[in-house]
Amino acid sequence: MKKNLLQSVIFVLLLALGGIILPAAATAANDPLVSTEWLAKNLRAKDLVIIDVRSESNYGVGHLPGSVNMEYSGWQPHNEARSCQLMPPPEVFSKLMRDLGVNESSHVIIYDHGNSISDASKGGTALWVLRTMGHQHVSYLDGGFTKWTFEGREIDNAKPTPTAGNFTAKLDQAKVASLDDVKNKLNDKNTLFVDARSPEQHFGVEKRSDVKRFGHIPRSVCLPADYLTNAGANRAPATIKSREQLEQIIKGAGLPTDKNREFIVYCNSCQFAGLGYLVLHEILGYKNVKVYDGSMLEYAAMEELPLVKFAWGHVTR
Amino acid sequence: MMMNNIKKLHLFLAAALMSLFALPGLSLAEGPLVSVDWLAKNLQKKDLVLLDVGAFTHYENSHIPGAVKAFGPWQTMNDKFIGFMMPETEVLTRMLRDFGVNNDSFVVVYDEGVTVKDTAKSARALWTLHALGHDKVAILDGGFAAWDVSQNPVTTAVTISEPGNFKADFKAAKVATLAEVKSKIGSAQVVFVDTRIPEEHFGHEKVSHIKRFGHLPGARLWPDKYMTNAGVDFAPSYLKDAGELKQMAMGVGIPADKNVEIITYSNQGKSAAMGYFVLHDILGYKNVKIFDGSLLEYAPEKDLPMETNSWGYKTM
Repeated sequence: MKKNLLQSVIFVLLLALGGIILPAAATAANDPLVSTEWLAKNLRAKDLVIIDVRSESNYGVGHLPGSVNMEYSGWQPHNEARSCQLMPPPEVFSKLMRDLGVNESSHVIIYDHGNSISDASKGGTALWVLRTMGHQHVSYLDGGFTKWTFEGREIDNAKPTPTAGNFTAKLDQAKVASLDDVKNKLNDKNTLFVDARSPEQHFGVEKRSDVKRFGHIPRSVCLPADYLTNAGANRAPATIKSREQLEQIIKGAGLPTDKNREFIVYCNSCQFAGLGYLVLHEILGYKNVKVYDGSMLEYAAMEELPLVKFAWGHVTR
Repeated sequence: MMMNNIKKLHLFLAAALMSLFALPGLSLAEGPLVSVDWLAKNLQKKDLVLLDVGAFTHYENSHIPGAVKAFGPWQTMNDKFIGFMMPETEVLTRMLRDFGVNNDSFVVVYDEGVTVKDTAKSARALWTLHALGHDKVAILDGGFAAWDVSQNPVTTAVTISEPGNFKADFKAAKVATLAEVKSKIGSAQVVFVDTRIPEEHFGHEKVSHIKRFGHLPGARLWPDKYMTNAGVDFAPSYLKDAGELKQMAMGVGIPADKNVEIITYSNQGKSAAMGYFVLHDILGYKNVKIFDGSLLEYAPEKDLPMETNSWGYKTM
């Protein structure tokens, strides 16, 4: 009787222990977001690659221990042919990732400065690039460097020398929309265009100086990337809003809750749109989300393509 | 031969138009918006009362010759301790008489003219006069900034006016009370227009003294700063032209029917006055009023609905 009881107790304890440890690790690898708390506990885990997308000089001053650096501009370099910022070709990207020690099996954590939407969108877009290049285990550090240092966690300025990885980029067309895709879908009621820019730029009363025309792609819905994080509220870092808030915001902006609908997200130079992808696809589970990487830098330069000015997309569609 | 005749016709038309514009005080200019050029030519106009509603420090520094120091109070705390409300009619009447306003005065209002917040002061003063039954009011397009940039003369000489004989004829239809708004929320017949910045309308941000996030259910969003060209290439706060404003009205979801009932609101009812001025005076909507208490009065009433994390306009 006693032996059985002891065995049962041990069995239950083992189960409980497994229940605590295993799901945490498994969850994190599949979660698009990881917390600073989780990362602090898993900083030196096997096959974990932490990529800092801040500038080389900021990285040089201090970074998360063990992290490697690839500045945001490297994820979206200027493309001469299309006069905008686009991800590098797969062969180039593969080498960049291998040099950072990224394997197919790695769990890659991306972080940015984490203070503003400008920061968060860089990390978000880097994540989109890596996922579009076919990597299956990428997560975003919620709150980035700002939250990490607010919490007094360790940083150093050691320069790691990672062993070359084996990642091979395979472009996933389902995640990126070309100019032709956009042109073909302009009159397709089933495709929803999502404008991740500021309301002023969407409405057409302002524009970036290097964007050629004012306004938004017809029927696109205004969903500012700025509204997706907590940046600035009571000095909060740019943590992503909760799932419940995000569901409410997506619906409130005028987008359907049907997770099978096709979305094409855009902005000026694809940076804000990447954060839109992180939220819509990775966090909320919309299955069919493409980022139009040429965005307004490319689209607005084509005088024959339609733009709507002085209107909200959700009103006039 | 043909060319000569056409050329002659053009010259004739040009001459005719020019002489038309040369006639002083022509009603073309006496709409709700007057230009700096018009004012420069009409400063001595007999029934003109020029009100400077900008900050009094601004007036003391420099103002348009003949302008009366009229910073207010155009808004005040009411007996329920709610701020920024329209003052009592008797108080306003005394103030307007002190400014020299008569029943037949053509009142031109101007502000600092740098940002839309300045223009909103003029719009609020204009609406107040409308609410008191006085319709002969206009705003100086671009305010003092436009006057100054055109290098027109300015002065520090304080204008002392003869007391006016203004008598108020209160128009309740211009002012929406809390009770009225309560009964009209959700009505398909009434269009609410929110003139605040998109972040506040959506509920992403709010000013600290407004008790809740978000907007009135169904409200259209038309930020007042979209209504002028303030800051565009350093321009003063000139109103956008009527064609663009009409386009915007459609684009934010305001019905084309000029008889539709519209209630504008903001945090404190001042920005809302820009919505009133544009819709009523520029675009000709006949039935426009301001929710005087606006969100300062509405938001603390927890049983009254506010929506957040959304745009107010819902696709019908």
